[in-house]
Amino acid sequence: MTTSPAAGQTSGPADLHLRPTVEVRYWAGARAAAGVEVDTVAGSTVAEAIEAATALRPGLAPVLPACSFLVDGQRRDTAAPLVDGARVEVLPPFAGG
Amino acid sequence: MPETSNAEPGRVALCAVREEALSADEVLAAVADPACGGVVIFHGLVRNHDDGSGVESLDYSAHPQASTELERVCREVAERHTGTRIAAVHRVGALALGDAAVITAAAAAHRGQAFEACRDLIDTLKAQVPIWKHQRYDDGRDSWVGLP
Repeated sequence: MTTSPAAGQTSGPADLHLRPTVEVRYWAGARAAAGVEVDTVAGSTVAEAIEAATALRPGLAPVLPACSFLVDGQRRDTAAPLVDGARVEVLPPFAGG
Repeated sequence: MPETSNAEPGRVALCAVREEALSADEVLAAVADPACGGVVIFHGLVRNHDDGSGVESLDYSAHPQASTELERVCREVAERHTGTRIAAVHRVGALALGDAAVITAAAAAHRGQAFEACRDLIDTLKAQVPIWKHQRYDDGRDSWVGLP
């Protein structure tokens, strides 16, 4: 069986280039743990985006399991799919009152 | 007439997230109604200790959608408690010990409905409105409340 030179074959981690580029914005204690307000990462789901964010900001690791997420302003779980330019917001546990 | 008002959906009389000091008088005036004979008001104050440590100062911050979320919470609580008038105000920014961080109130024809609605309002607010609290302790430590 011969291999034909398919598009995308040239770069090894081709799927990295296919993953949407998204913005991850940290709030309150998550911002303190990350040390920055916002990161740009690749991820096709919320889970992938926060995994990429944790690789950049190891301080987030203990904090993220307690957080909830917004995607473009709407509450979403970690399985939610992302499109290019999506904005993921990381919300630590609420502590009003 | 009171029987009629009991069957109506609850109403949101006041709902706000703000930096200015909170006023119990404002909240009580907002929920006041001639048909309501019972008013319950809850004050959440900055206390001088938490989790065994002395608290020195405290900062509340809110997500830009916090006001919208508080409005939703108030509407939902009002729907659950027919015949009530409810109000909720939450302060953000730097607060001193003893300052009111939140005031909720519920007025109803009778006390039982007012107690239930006020309790539901403060509990739901705390669980669902994206507001965060950063505490500084008298031993120099600081923490984001609720964060692992």
